[in-house]
Amino acid sequence: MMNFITKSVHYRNKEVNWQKKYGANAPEVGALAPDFELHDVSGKHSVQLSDFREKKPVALVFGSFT
Amino acid sequence: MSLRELYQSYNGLVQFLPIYIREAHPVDGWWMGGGIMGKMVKKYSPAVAVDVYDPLTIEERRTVANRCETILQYAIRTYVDEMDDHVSKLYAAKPTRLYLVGLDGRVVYAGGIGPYGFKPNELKRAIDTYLRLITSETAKRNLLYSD
Repeated sequence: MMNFITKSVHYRNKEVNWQKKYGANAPEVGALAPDFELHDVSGKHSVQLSDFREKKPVALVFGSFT
Repeated sequence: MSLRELYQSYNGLVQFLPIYIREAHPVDGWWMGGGIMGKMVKKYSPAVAVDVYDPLTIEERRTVANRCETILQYAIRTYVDEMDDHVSKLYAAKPTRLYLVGLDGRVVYAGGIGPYGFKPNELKRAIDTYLRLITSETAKRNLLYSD
């Protein structure tokens, strides 16, 4: 149990530091959304955020499996 | 409202881009799969995996993303962040986060940091408000040009 708590505190601090580092520059409402290009799970199809400009609003859903 | 319902409700009106980023709770990291936590995860979030190691290559990352896409069955193509976590860092997206980007490429909604700030209902409200706004702007433009 102690090991779990120690590990949780360690990883939580790591995540908090990551957010401090990158959260400061994350786009806020009204800011231009940083453009990017990524591939799908097959690696064959790509998407670029700016492709949708003036065409459709885009919802970005970030997440993982765990 | 769940993400699935959101996708189904606004598919066609809004482009959804699910982006798979670095694992939040891999077996070789901040693992939530053991003991009481593991039981709670299985009970309250059965779709969440507890047997995934942090992918070390882009091929491994794509494989896990593919498994995730298959199991969740959102029927929307998932895109995979590169191993340097470039996009995740740009949007401070770890562990989960939602954004809405408008037609002009500007951020309309920036959700909080997950899991507590991950609120599909807030995104839904932002989508509704934004769609109303662009519809009324289009109507105004059409009126101006018809004069």
